[in-house]
Amino acid sequence: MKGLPVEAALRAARDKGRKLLVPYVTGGLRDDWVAILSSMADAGADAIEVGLPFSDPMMDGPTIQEASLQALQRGTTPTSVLDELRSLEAPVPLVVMTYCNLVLRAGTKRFAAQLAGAGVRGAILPDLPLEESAEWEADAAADGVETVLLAAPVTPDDRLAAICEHSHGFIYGVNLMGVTGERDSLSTSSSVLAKRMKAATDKPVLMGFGITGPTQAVAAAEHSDGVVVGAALMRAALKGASPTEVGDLVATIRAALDGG
Amino acid sequence: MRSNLLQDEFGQILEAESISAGLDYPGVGPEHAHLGEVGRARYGSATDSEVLDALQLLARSEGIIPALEPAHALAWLVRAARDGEVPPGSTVLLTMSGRGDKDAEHVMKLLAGGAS
Repeated sequence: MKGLPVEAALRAARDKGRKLLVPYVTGGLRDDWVAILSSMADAGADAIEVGLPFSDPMMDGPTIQEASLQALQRGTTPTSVLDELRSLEAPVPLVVMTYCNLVLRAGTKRFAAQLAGAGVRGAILPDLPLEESAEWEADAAADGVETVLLAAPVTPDDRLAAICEHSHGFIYGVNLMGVTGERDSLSTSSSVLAKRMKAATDKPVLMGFGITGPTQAVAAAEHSDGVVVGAALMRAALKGASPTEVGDLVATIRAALDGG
Repeated sequence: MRSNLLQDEFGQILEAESISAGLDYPGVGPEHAHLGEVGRARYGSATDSEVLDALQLLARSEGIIPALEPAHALAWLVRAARDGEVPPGSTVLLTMSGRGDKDAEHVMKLLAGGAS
């Protein structure tokens, strides 16, 4: 099977005492988006989240909306992104982030097979509610694709337990009640949620949304296993930062998480 | 439950286009998708110019200014009556789901030949 399994890699890194770092790149953002991905891996990413751009990205704020639109306007499709990933031997696990309609349109079995064929072993579908996730989760698992579920600051305890049980790869903690994008400071709801998640599961717990740089990353990782960073990197990429420059941003966060 | 969407082969949602703000949406309610699928309801369409004609017909004949949304139903009925699909003497129930005051400025521009 192509690609690296997500949870096994993240658990192994965490159990060695490392804080986890998962940067995000919008698939098809520019001609050299795969070089951005490789640069992120070289800079110390533990896994990489690849956005399959969707026309109606309802969980995303202005930066990732703009990145998605730019990718779509270049003619990017789920197929074109996965085709480019297929020819890559990524040194870290790959997780796609996309929305349900792309999955339903292809069909859950076919979509899972397409991901697996491209070496993608994880999927984040923020608009897939827990109650409707069974069909996708089963079809994905059959192809070795781990389904990552999200928990929010308002998720009640019983639901949090169910999310932790059904989530694979890691559990994605949403730092705040809002969309993706940079914030001046880390939401106070972040540490409360991180502690609740860590108490509820032994699976890797990653926090995302509003992680603008090293300071917020360190704060968000204090009570969790690590962070997902997206908008800050995509803002740089949209402004024309080279793959190396985006990698440097990742390296800065890596160093901060490592206590450097 | 799923519904019908304006979408491409990959599931990307496409831009809708309607002179009526309430219909300018790339999907339909899942109840309608279901009723259509099981054959309990049929769904027709009307062009922008038919809608504007129907709106004026109702305004002039009944003194009622319909919103652009139900004016689509009215336009379909005018055509169906003309074509014989709805026979003369039929009793027809049409839901007038909104009043046209809200659309007055927009309709004036459309009738003057301008863009919305």
